[in-house]
Amino acid sequence: MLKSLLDRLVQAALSDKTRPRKVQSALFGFIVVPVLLVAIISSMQTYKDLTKGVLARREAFASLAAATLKERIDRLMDVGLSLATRVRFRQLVAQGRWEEASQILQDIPREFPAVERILLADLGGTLRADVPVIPSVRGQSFSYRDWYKGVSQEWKPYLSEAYRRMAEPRYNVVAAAIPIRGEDGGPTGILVLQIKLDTFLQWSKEVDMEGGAFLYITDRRGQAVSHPHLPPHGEVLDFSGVAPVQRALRGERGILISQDPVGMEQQVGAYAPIPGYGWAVVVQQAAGTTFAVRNRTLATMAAFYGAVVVLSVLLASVILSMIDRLKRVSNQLELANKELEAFSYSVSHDLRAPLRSIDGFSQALLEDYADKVDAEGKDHLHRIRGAAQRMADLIEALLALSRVTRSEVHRAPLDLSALAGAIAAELQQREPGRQAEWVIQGGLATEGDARLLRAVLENLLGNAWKFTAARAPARIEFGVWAGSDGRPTYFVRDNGAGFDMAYEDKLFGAFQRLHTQAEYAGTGIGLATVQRIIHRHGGRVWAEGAPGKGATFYFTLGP
Amino acid sequence: MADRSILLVEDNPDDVALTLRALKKNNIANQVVVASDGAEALDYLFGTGKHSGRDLGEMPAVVLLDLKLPKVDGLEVLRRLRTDERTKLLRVVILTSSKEEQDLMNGYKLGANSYVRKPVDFVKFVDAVRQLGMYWLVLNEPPPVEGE
Repeated sequence: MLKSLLDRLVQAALSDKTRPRKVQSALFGFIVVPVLLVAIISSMQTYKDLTKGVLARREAFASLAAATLKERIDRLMDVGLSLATRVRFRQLVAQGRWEEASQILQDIPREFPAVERILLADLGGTLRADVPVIPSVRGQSFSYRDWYKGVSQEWKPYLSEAYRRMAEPRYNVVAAAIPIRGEDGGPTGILVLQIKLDTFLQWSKEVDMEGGAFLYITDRRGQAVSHPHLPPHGEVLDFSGVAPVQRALRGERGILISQDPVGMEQQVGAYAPIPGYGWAVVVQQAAGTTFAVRNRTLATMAAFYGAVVVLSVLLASVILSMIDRLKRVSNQLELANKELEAFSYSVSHDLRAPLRSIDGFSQALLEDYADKVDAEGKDHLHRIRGAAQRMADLIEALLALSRVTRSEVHRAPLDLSALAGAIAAELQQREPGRQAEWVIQGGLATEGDARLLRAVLENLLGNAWKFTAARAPARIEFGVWAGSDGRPTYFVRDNGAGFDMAYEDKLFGAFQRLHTQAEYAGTGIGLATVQRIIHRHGGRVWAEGAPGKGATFYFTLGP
Repeated sequence: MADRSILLVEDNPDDVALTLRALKKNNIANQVVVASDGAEALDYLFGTGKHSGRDLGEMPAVVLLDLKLPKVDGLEVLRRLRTDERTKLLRVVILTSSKEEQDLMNGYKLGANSYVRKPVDFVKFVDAVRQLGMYWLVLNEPPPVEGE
């Protein structure tokens, strides 16, 4: 069914009535457009998927970094907690013996390099002791510090924001303020661990980054705690205006693509909050780097699809030009056929006239000058007439042959038995004196062109009739048998002169004869015509025979 | 109908000679008027040109008409004479070499009375002419309209 649809499409495309523009647009519509659509949709989908993948990875990275940092900060706070809860230490603080309490902490900075300095403050925020000792700040009130404000709210451990400390050297630090509790559980003082921002910078560097990505940390106010591009003890910069920071400080995690106002390059910033401390972690990378692989993949895809689209356009053009060519060839063929028809027509008329003259005047000579022409002369004239007649026969046969090739085969049901019977009757009527036995199988119905098949049977039966002239009685059979491939094979058999099988391949060639003109008259074209007709019906024709033992001609009529 | 003429419309002089010979052989003594092209044939039938002044009361008993003619084609002659009252009922025998189906069809469509193919064999031709003569000049009854 698909094939017949295809056939009709091809026919429509080739028909003269179809405008070339319609065929063009149809072809482009059916070939190029679908390919283009597939290419676009598939590319869009791939773009989405790849982008999602890359961004998800970045996001996960930021979350991992945040979790790692949280863990480290937690450990730091734990150190503070464990210090603050030492019994002896608490007792001393409760008794106000600050100096002695700080002695216990002497070795801490050495043991924990992250802790740069330790302060001991009273509940009012006044510095009572420190390790190492910096006399200039003892006794000063630090109640304005964020660490004091934070810890004094609920007397819970508090990690401050980044700030520049008073004491020399004036490092940028973050303070972990741990409340010290007395026997009754109430706060008695504050243990402050100062942590240099270098520590965080160092930690962030320990996180393995690839491709120019970097990590920066901000405190809960959005101030940079560590940033690989900033000196840890320069001015503490405010990043609270940066979008990823804002979001992370709100507790969100995610990814943002923004324009870097300085570098003009698009930046991909994955952000995550450090839970429990309200800090933010941002992992930033140039968008170009982030999407490098994705873009490469897409470029490859685009190139591939581009090639496919180009190919499909080429294909469409090739098909178009083929259709064009086919149309032209088909038109040429039609033209050639028409010319041939016209030629045959003029041949049939113009060639016969001179032949008639040759024949007529030879005869006139024979009749009017009979007494003046000797036997040999008369013989010459007879030969002239004979030749003219044969030429006329040849023209007839050639025209018949060409007509067969040109004409269309109109298939219709027909009765071969009846046809054969009619032809047999005609032949017999021409020579009623001849004794002949006709054996025609009845009921041979088939499909084919009535006119052309009549010519076939006329030829085959006529030949049988001709070549059995010497037999009495002549026996001519026409019938059918189931062929070797199951197709009905018709046959015309006679008991006439037969032929030598050695010349079998010459039988159907035009102008080929296996007997001289003297033995049996004929043009030698008849069987060529038969073969052509049978072939146009999609069948085969062949013959068997033996000299003196008759001949059988077989033919099939196609599927 | 021995007094009526036969109009032979034929351009090939050989064929004219052979046809006249054939008629003579069959003792057909009618006067034969030869027109060597379609225009001349029409001139004769309608009394124009070369034949102007001819008595149009004397129409041929039969017209032997070839098809391939110079100036005016055989079928056109047939068409013209079939459309004119004076010549509408003339007996026209198309005598031609062509066996092409389109000629056959057109000839009959335009109202030819008969279509005979000229055989190459002269003996057969003579026989054909004999039969034509026997039929159209002797056996066939012409329409009564033409004043006898």
